[in-house]
Amino acid sequence: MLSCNIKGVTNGFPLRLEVEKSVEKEVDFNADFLKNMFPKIEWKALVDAARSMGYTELPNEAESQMLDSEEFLKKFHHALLQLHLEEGALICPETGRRFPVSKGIPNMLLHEDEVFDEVYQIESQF
Amino acid sequence: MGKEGELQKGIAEFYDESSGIWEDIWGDHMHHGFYDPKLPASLSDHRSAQIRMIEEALAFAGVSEDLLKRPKSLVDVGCGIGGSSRYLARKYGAKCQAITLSPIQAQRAQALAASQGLADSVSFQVADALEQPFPDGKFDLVWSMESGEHMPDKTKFVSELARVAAPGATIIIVTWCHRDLSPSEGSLKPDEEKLLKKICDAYYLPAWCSTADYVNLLQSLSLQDIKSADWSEYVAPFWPAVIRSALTWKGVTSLFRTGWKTIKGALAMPLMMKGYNKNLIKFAIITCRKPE
Repeated sequence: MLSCNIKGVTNGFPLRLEVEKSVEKEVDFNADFLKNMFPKIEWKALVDAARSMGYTELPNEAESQMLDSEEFLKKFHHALLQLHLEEGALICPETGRRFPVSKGIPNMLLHEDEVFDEVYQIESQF
Repeated sequence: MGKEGELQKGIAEFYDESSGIWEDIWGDHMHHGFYDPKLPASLSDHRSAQIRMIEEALAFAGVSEDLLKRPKSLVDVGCGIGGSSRYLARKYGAKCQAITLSPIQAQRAQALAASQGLADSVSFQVADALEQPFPDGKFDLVWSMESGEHMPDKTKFVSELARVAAPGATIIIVTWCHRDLSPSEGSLKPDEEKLLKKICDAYYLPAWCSTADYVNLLQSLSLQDIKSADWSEYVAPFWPAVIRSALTWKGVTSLFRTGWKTIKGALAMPLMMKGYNKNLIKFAIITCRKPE
């Protein structure tokens, strides 16, 4: 769900994954939760992210009818909830900027020169 | 490093240093409790008061509990160690994203979520509320519980809240403000400014604004259903309780084990009480809805 917020970047989603260490965690299966989440997910982004973590079982495209299949739900569950990026980075698709991930926490803070601030820009000219 | 960069660093370090001791004594909610003004509050009431604060805010904003209309995705802006995030995710069965400037808070928040079986519903990242790392219109509920006071640019803060809100979403801001200015006033009185400045230095707060300023900002963004209230009387028991907890043996020894930033913060607590008593500081709630 995160997107790159550097000023001027129009194509900041989805962020690509650079995986140094990934972890698989056991999460209770909840079909209703998955069905609720499905409309909010950018499917292609999920497929690409899962692939970077080494999981290739997801179909390239998905429709809501597929939610009736237990097999599909289990794969969706695994990719969405059980695969975790512990160490690595999220990479902006437009600028290549790396947002580091450490102990599972992404750091999305921008550097000062990545934030367009009109006053700051004008002041710096004097 | 620019002024804003320094403020960010100060905020991150303040919470990195002090989160542990707060959690130790007060638990995982880092906000005021909501109290009945007519009843005395005992120490054991504070945790339920903090939960009541969340529920009262949701009720004030008119957030629906109905299965179809309730929020499914939420964002907690300035999440602390995730008390609100976990509570709201659990209450609505929703997915929650949360941001904080403090890496230690984010870590602790994620660990608590995992230990409570919520690792799949709540995720925390280190990020700036003025540059939220989310695409437009993602969240049904945008939640800012006592973080607004840290934002140096209120306009940017509020417009980011509006940006990430989905059409029809509810935005809830609970924050410290100074009193509204009367029509003839251009600014607060000098002694009022002086008191606020001392508090700002201790808590890494930039300049304060009034509740009316927030309402104007929301209006300028064409948000609808804008409501605001002064809840100062409902939080009155809070600071005296925090001061008392700091003065216990556990409080004092814990403070000495943290660092100067936390101690400075603790010493500034009576200033907060003074500000409330002078009707200078207001505990405000401001809510609105993004048009469909």
